[in-house]
Amino acid sequence: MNNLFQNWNMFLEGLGKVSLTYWPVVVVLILVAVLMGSVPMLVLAERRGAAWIQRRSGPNRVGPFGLFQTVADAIKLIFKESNLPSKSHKFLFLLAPALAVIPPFLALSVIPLGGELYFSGEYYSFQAVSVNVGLLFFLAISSLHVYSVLMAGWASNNKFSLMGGLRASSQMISYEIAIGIAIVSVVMTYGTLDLREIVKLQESGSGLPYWGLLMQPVMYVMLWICSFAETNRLPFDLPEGESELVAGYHTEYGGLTFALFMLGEYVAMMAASAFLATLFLGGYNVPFISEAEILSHFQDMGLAQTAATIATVACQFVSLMMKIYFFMWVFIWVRWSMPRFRYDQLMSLGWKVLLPIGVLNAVATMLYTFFTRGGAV
Amino acid sequence: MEPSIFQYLLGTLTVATALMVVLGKNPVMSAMSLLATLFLTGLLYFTFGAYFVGAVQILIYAGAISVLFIFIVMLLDLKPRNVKIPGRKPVYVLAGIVGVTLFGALLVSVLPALGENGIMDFGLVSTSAMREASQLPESISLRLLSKYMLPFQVTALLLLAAVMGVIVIGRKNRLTGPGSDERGTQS
Repeated sequence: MNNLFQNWNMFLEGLGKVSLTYWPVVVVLILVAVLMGSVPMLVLAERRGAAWIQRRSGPNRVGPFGLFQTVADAIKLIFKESNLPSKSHKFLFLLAPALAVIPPFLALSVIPLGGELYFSGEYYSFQAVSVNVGLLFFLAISSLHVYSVLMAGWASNNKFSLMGGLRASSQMISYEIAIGIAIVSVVMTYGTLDLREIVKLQESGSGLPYWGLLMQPVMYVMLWICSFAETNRLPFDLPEGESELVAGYHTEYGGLTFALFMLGEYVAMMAASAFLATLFLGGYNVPFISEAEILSHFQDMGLAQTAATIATVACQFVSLMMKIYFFMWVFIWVRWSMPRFRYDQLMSLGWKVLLPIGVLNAVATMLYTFFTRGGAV
Repeated sequence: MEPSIFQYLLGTLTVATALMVVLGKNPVMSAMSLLATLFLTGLLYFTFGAYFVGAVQILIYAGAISVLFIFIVMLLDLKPRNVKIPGRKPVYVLAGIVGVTLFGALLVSVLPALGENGIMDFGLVSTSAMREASQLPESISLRLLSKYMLPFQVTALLLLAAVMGVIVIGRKNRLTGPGSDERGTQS
């Protein structure tokens, strides 16, 4: 056992000698690999989960437990002809699916995925892009997601698509305001816009986790509801309500262009889950144990500094992914448990319920922060 | 700081999309080009390290305001042949004067930033202070709520006036008095 670790340590020390100028590229590659690997699994989980909730069998023929069903579907979608409607606006019609995929990936790039790695005397944080206003960056980039829906709806030159696109844009704009108000309270609680700082503030020792969930429970629920509306998932999937709009904004899409919309939807859900986990569930922190404790535990096992930090970061990354998968499962669970909202119900929930609650909570947080911090900002 | 090739590329793209806004025939494409211009401007701020300004630019202009533009352009169903610019000459002259004045003012305030002791440095703006202020959200908000309080409030008043103007213009019937619709009933 010790011998094995020694070889491993020597290998890693050699690796550490290599200058890690391109470290962000490595993180981006890991992130994309994990996401692209997760999406087929989640699609299968969605279909099997739906079947389980509805007491059916679901897709169980391709491979063991139907595990290869999504692979077969993906191959089918890739080789299927994606037709271009003759009276559509060609450029925007083809741009829309690309814009559905890009913003969620970009938004995920600012999420801190783990602690710090040690290589040849320097620490590298496990995060693709480290900006001091990561929270604002995430909101800004994810607000661009609406354009793919709007463009697809307009460029298809189809009345159902246009209706879907218009519904989606008004819905997403309305709920963005509720998200913005909810974020105000969260930012006042943490006092920073840096997502890494926010995660570090939630680090817990052996006691109760010091999570945002316990400090802003109302905003946690509110942001969670808003994330359903932002990703156009049931019960807020009016932009693609099948009963009245065929398939909404992606009625005219098929083949790979449709697959891109699906990929975009799932990555957007993962981005929203990662955002919720980062703000409220301690991000990459492992509950009931601090980063230093994990690190010292691995060092006690005989690992050198580099290997110990890699093992720690791996633990933290798994912790974050488990939180993300929890939220993903709730997305699926809610989809098959709740009926779709009517449009006026959706709007009145956004404007008349969530927005006032958010404002009240922001005022309360403001007063609390003002008085507990001795009146100083 | 010498600009990188990436910044030149972004700048060129920004200017190209801005030209497409004005020169394009299709109103929806013009609105989309405006979105691209605003987004690329935000990216330019990022490349200069002004993350806060860039994020706010994308969040407000590219994320929210452009959606409303595109939304309205789509709802009005503006066909290229339906768009006619009213041919009143005094309006053109006024617009030209305002445009040139604004361009001059922007040029005077932007050119000093080209170099620490650049050729066009009139000493109006301290570039190092500007750079420092653009990087920290705290310093921006503190300045906004202390030194620039008056312009901040005046802008708010201006926006309020614009909203009221829209309501006045948008009312269906101006002759039947306040608070009534076309049929003359109180709403």
